[in-house]
Amino acid sequence: MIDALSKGDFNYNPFGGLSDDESFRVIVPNRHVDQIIADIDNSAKQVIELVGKKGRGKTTHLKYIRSLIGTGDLFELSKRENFRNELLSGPRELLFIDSIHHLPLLDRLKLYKLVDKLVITTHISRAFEYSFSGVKYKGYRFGGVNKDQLQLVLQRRMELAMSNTILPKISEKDIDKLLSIYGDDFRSILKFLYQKYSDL
Amino acid sequence: MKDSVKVEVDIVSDSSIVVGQRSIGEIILHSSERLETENIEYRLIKETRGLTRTIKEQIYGGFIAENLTLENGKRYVFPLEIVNSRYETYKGKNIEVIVRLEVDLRLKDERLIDHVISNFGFTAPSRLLSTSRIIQFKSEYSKNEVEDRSVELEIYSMFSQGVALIIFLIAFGAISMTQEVSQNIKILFLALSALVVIAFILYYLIGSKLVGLINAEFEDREGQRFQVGFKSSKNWNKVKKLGVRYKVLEEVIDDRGTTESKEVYCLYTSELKNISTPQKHARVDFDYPNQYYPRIDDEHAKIVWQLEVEVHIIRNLTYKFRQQISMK
Repeated sequence: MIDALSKGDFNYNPFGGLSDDESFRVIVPNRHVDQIIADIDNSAKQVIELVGKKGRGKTTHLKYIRSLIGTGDLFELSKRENFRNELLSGPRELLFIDSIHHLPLLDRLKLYKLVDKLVITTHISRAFEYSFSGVKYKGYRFGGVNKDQLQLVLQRRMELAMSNTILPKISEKDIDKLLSIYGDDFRSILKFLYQKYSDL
Repeated sequence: MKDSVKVEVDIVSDSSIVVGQRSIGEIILHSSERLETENIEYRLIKETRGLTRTIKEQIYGGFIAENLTLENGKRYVFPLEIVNSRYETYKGKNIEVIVRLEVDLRLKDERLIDHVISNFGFTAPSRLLSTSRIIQFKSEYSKNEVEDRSVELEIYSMFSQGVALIIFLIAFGAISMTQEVSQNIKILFLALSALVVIAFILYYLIGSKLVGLINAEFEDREGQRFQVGFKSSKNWNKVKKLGVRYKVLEEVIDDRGTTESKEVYCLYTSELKNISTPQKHARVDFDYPNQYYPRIDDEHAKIVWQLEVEVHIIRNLTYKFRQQISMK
């Protein structure tokens, strides 16, 4: 697979993590993006959740949408830092939170009430929590990638990293094979390609 | 960069530049159309890339020109000076460190610029024309050398096995107590749990009594090899054998997205050296790997040298220790 690739073609492994600005250059936007932006522009108070399994592009899209909107703070929560005090310090109009599960349940319930438009990423829908807090919500499922999207995003990644003018192409057969092995788990596809390239 | 502007970067150097060394060269601009620039700058950017988020850091920067108009067909040459005082470049299994020299032309007027993704016709209005070149940096010494120091070894297997067992017992206990299980099974489970806990305590007590606290002393031997000396608080009368080796590991923490994972790849494993019937003191010599491994110690990416020691005592009991080795 990806026999066409050679190390000399690229300045760095094209299948690794990207900086935010690079991600925005290679992203193939999900079909929900326009509707999510419309929801944010809508005046109603609500939580907008981007739901999906690991590696389906939720975080990349959250950052991408934030960059298109151009306003609202974005917090990336992790095991090491959940920004609890800062998040619960007072009401806000618009807030983007990646990985809201790092915040304890009671804090999440407080946060839903504090923020007018809260856009979050989560593995599982938290509909019950929003209902409990008396807040409306809209959920958008992230997952599913087709052959064209995958080929396009991989091709864009390779263009970004290329050092030669001739760009290698990942064949349709390879794309089919990747999809048959990993389904829509884009992160696993990238990891496989990263290690394949690394071993060249 | 749009085809109308070509930027060449010439650096007086062979294939790679030594970290900490001042390098000079030229930045050459050609333009096939008239371009009014507000300023022209260059930056040296270190990028840690791999199976993790990309971290970029500007390590050097300079100013080239202000309010310069590039005339059609004319060639402009500017002196370039760069210093990277810290970072070597590296291509590993799951990490790479690259250094990029970027030249930015800020235009007075916004214009449609073809971005890198040109095959897809991706153009956007911008005032910034940017181009870059990857530069290799190597360390002046480029050799593996341990730091002379002594450390106390940390038992890992006993701790990790103990924690894993306790988690298993709690989980199993919680599940079985909520289910309708017979009294006999509950008693059996409690008895087994007690046995496991007793075995764990015994293992720990035997270890403290027979193995004791181990101090390891690292010493470089003229850059060719290194020596590890062991001292114990006990006499090691019951210790049959020490098995010692070291590994060079590439560790990447991937916290992109909603989950976090750690990828560890072994770049090098030394031969296993056995010391039979060691007494209170023991020493072992190791050669360095033939390949040089740079120091990488970022938040998400590290190259770790790790000593592994197995202490075999009577009745096939084994205690394992791991300790990070500090490198110069």
